Amino acid sequence: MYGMVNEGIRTFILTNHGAEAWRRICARAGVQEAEFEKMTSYEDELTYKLVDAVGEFTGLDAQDVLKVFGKYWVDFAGGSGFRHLMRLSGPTFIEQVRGLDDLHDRIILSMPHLKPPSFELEDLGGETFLLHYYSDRDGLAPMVEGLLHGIAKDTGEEIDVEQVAFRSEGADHDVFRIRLLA
Amino acid sequence: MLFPLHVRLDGLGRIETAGPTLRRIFGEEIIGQAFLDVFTMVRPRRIQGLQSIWERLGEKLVVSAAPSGEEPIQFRAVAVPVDRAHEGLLIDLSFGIHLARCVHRFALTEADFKPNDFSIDLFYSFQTQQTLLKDSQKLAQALKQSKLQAERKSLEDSLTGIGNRASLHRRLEEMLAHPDPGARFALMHIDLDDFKSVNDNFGHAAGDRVLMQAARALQASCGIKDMPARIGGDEFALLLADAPEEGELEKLARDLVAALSMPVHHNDQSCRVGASIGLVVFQPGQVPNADRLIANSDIALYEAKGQKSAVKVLSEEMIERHEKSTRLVSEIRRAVKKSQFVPFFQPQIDTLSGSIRGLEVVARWELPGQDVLTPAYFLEVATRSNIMVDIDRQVRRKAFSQLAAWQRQGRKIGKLSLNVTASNLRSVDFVSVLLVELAAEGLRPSDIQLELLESILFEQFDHELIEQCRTLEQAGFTLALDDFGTGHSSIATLIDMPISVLKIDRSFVSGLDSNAKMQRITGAMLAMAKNMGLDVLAEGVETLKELEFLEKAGCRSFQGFYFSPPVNAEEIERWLDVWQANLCQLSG
Ligand code: HEM
Repeated sequence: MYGMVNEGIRTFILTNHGAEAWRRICARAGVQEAEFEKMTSYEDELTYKLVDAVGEFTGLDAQDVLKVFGKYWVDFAGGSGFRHLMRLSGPTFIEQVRGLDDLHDRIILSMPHLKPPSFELEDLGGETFLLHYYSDRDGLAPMVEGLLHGIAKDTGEEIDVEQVAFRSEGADHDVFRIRLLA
Repeated sequence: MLFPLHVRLDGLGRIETAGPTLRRIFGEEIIGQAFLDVFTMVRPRRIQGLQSIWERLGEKLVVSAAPSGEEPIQFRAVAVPVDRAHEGLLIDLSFGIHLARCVHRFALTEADFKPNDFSIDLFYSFQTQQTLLKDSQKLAQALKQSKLQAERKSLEDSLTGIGNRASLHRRLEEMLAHPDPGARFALMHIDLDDFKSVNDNFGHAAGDRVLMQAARALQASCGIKDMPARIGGDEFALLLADAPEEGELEKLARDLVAALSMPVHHNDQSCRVGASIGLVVFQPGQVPNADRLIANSDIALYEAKGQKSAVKVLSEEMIERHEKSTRLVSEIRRAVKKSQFVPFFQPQIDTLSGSIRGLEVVARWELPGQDVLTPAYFLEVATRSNIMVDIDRQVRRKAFSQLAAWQRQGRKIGKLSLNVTASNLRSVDFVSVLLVELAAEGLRPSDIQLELLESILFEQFDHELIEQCRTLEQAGFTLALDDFGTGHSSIATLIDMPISVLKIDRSFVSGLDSNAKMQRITGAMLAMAKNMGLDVLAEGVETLKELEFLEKAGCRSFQGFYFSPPVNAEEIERWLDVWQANLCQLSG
């Protein structure tokens, strides 16, 4: 994954736990780099190792780390100059979610090795939606949950998210049920 | 060409015509094929069949195709009906996310884009930027690398690879700012006992080995949130993030002491150190800063070191004791500045001739208008904080100047006796300092007797110290062995020593009058010393009976309260006058 993701993890730890904590996490993950080049592509393995080490450090399991990190990501990516890319899709939660593929497509122009996720939103009516999440990678569904809450926080809406299909349990892809709360 | 990437479909979805660029990419055989045989829908994802394209006229579509069976390419697409009858479809394509790949793969030029399409211009501009970006990335990477290295150096102990004082400091500050006020941390402050002797006896390589092994031992007892650090020469710290309750914590520390005390092998030799640990448990916000915490753990460590290989948990009393002694240290410093340390003198007498052999100089702290304090009050604290040297110097100079005055007055007071410590002897310029100070007062080394504790010479058996004693003797000083009999030396071991006076410790003197066994030992000791040509002086004589017994046993030199306690210069002058007068009466 692009260094930007690892940088996100690093900034998250620095903000919440401090520089020495980050050094210890890197040491535990066996990671030499203490900082990452946002626009350089790194092995996915490295990101997974970092997530595990953060889990060990914070006492959370990897899934919860991903959730927390997902929520944080929207702020972090937005703050890194990409917010206007998100805004292109529109100001509401639903518009932003619909625009996620376009968003990552646009990012590909500057990060040509990106292997982006793909999403599709299905309107079930009654403010309820199904979000289909397709990915070449495993295990990142909890992050999507966090990310969705991150978007909602950003657009000032409230949502309820529940994962209803699990690729890890044999489904074709992960699916989330989203309800917009008044 | 207006639409170089278009396809026109007939009512059955077959490609009737295609733009020149598409024909170049897919070959002329694309004509006549069904659109959905060549292209697959990528987005919207779950739609199939021509009908669904009809349902999404004018919307953004993403399709992909693999020309010549090679790597697939994504296109953006939009479909519009060709005629009113809605039979044919015009699908206009554009390069999507694979634009860069296509430009190279198909050698695209401006002609492959619609006249009003800016993408190829943007693309080349992007490419230039990417090249520039790569340059900056390289530079940034190099800078980051050196920054990291510098940072690592500044936060890592270079010998052992664990954290150093700076990184401990940082982590402590992080813990103190921890958001959970209920979190409990512990700081162990660890000092290796006898490390210096490993360096001295086995060399620095062995010393380094010991330090590295200690670092490994600390690492072995660390979890991810804990942190080991080397914070000084042989000083370490271990920071525990989830401190267990006190009993378990102490056990952990004791286990660590045991691990640190394991023998270390170096070049077929085995050396061993011990460790003392001071322990502090703390919670976020409880202590103002990391410096205070380290200072607190140091207080506990100090108490632990007092017992060697001990573990001590910081307590309120320890802090109080420490504050008291800190106050005392600054009082002592002030007293040195105000020159409040003075010599007191206690006579040493040859009872056979009645003459004064000399005066022993002892330090006293004279508080103006208050009591006079003995070293019991300040010696330990002053030694620990390295002020004793200054006090000694102050007292010594005053004593020398007093002796010079007495000599000028024609008083016969014999030699001045000064106590000498191991650290005096270790200091290379001790002899020259003494000689200069004496010369400044017009005195000579033969005016001075230096008294050293038996333990200095024998327990540490340090060749350098013995050499230093020889130098002093050769310079003309008389050397006396103080507190003789309390250590492990016997008179026989004194043969090779540059010592000419033995001061028998008070423990041999007190109670002599009633204890027959002691009498025999003391008698034998005196006889042997006499045979070896050593002068013997008995100190701590308090009663006439003790004096009489020792005289009978052959001793003639004495010091003790029986004659006079240590007193100031004026009083000793009066005492000397009285003694002299009595002597004259006796002989007259
Ligand atoms: C401006 C904001 C965003 C930026 C700059 C961004 C960028 C990225 C980058 C660089 C990656 C790494 C992929 C790789 O290197 O191959 C990634 C992955 C991912 N992004 Fe985003 N992203 C943004 C917003 C979002 C949002 C709002 C979502 C919400 C669901 C999201 C969902 C994901 C997911 C799930 C992945 C993991 C990749 C996978 O599933 O295979 N991203 N993104």
